[in-house]
Amino acid sequence: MTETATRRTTPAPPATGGRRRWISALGEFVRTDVLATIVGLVAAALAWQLIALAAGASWLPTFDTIARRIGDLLDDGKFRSELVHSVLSMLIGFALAVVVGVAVGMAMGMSTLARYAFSIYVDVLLFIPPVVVTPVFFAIFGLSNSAVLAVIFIFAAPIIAATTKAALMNIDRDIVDAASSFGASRWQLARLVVFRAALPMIFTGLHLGIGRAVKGMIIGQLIIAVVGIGAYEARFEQAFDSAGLWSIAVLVVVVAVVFSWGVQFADRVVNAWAYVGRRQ
Amino acid sequence: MSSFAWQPGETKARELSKTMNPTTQAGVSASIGTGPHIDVNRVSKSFRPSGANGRGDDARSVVALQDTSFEVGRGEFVSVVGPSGCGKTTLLRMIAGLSSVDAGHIFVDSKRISGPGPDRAVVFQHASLLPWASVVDNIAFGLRLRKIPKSERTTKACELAALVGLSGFESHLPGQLSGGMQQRVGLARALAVDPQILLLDEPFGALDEITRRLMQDELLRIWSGTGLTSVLITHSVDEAILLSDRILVMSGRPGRVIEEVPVTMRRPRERGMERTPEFVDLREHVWELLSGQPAAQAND
Repeated sequence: MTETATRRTTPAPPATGGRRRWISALGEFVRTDVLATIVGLVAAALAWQLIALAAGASWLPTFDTIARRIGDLLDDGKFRSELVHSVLSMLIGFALAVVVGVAVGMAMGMSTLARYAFSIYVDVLLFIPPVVVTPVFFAIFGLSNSAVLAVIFIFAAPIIAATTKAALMNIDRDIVDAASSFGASRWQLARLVVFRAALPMIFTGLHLGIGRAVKGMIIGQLIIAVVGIGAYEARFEQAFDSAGLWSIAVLVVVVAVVFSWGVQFADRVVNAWAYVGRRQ
Repeated sequence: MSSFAWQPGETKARELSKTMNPTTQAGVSASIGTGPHIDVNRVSKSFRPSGANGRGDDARSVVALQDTSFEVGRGEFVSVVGPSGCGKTTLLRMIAGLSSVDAGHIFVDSKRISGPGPDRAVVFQHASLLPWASVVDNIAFGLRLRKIPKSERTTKACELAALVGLSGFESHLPGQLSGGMQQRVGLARALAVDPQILLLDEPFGALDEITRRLMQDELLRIWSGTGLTSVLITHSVDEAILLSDRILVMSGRPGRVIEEVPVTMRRPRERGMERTPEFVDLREHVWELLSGQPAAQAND
C-alpha cells in the first residue's frame, strides 16, 4: 500500500533502534553543542587578547597572562584541592536541589492541593535574590561547607521546581487520555506517561538550575571567604590581584560549561527521542 | 451490483462469517439474537464552564446529550454522525469510560460501565502515541499495563504492526511517521489488547483525502477479519455508509438519536459502491436528516 506523507515531504529516515538513537543523539550533541561552545570560547579568548592589548589597562590583563596564571594555580596542590572541594560542593548542592525541586514540582503539577501549598514559597524564592537569604544560612550553619551547600540549594531548587511544575501542567493531555483508556492506574499514568512526557522540559529546568548552582557556589564561598576557590577570590580581591581574579572567573566559566555539558549530555541520552529528526 | 438485504439471525451470521476469522465467527453466531453488546439507556451529559469565580457556573451549563438511547449488537459496525457540537465525542468517551454519565446508564454485556475496561479500546482522532516510544512499544502499551511479559508483548506487537502494514517500521518513533502511519499504529494499539469493542473517534479526521480512503480500506479489511463490535464517530456521511451496518443520526445540541438508518448493502464493501443507487439514496437520506439540524454556536 502506498502512503501519502501528510507530515513530511521527504522520505522518513532509516529505522533507528533505541541504542542507535542514543549514539546518533550523542554524535549530534558533540558536533553542535560541544564544538559550538568551544568555538565560541576560543573566539571570546581571541577577542579578549586583542582588547586587552589595545587597552593596556592593569585591570584587564591579556588572556595569555591569565592562562599562565591559571597554570600556576593548577600546579598548586592546595588550590587543586580547593577546586575539587568547590566542585564537589556544587554537585552535592545541585543533586539535593534536583531531588527536592523535581519532587516539589511534580507534586505541584499533579495535585491542586500541593500547588496551593507550595506555589507561594517557590515564587518568593524565585523573586527574591537568593543572596538576601544567604546570611540566614550562615547564622544557622556557621561559616562552614554546610552553609555553602544550603546556598547552592536555594539558588537552584526553586527554578527546578517551577520548571517541573510547568512541564507537568503542559504535557499533551491527549496522550494521558489515551493511556487512561487502556485502564492505566494513577501510578502507572504518573510513572509511564506523565513523568516521561515532562522530562524534556524538566531538563530545561536542570539546565537553568546548574547555572544558578554555580553562581550559588561562588557567592557562598565568597561570603564565607574561608573555603573553596571563593576563598582565593576574596584573597585576590583584597590584594588587587586582577590576573588572579580573572583567572578564578575563567575557571568558574570552564566549570559552568563542563557541568552544562553534563546536563545536556544527560538530556540527549534520556530524551534522545526528542532530538531525532529535528534537523530534517 | 446486487444489494444485500439485512437478514437477522443465522443468515446474517453466515454472511458475516465468510469474511471473518474462525475465532470470532462462533461468537457472532451465538450472540446475534441475544442481548445488545452496548446498551446506551437514556443518557444525559452536561458541562459547566467555569464562571468568573473559577467554580462551575450552573446558569451557563451546556447540555451536550439529553435522553440518548440506542443499542449496538455484537459484531455490529455502527457509525454516529451529527452536526458539530452535538455530543458525538462525548458519547464515545462515556462508552469508553473516560467521562461520567450525568443521567441514565451505559451497559456493556449487561454490566453497567463505570470506567475504562479491558473489553473496550479507543482509536483517537489524533493518534496520541507516546512520542518517546517506538512503534512496537506504542502498540504494546496496553499489554505492558497488564504486565504481559516483554517477549510476549513484543511478538504480538510485531504481528499487529504487520497486520496494519507497518512491517519494517517497528523501531521508528512517531515523529518519523506520517499521519496515516501514526493512525495505523493507533489502530494496532487498540487491537493489541484484544478488545471486544472498538471505539473510533473520527480516526481519519486529521488525514488528507487520499490517506483517508486508504485507511478506510484498511479498517474494512481489519474489521472483516476480526468482526469486532465497533462504534465510529465521523463527520463523513460517505465514510459512515461505506463502513457501517447502521448509522445513528444525531440531532444538534442537546444531542439525541433522531433516526437509526440501516445500511443494507452487501459485504464486503468495495470502492465503486459509492456510485450505486442504494448508496446515493442512503447519502441523500442521511443528509436530509442532518440538514435540518443546527450546528452548535461558539457562544452557546
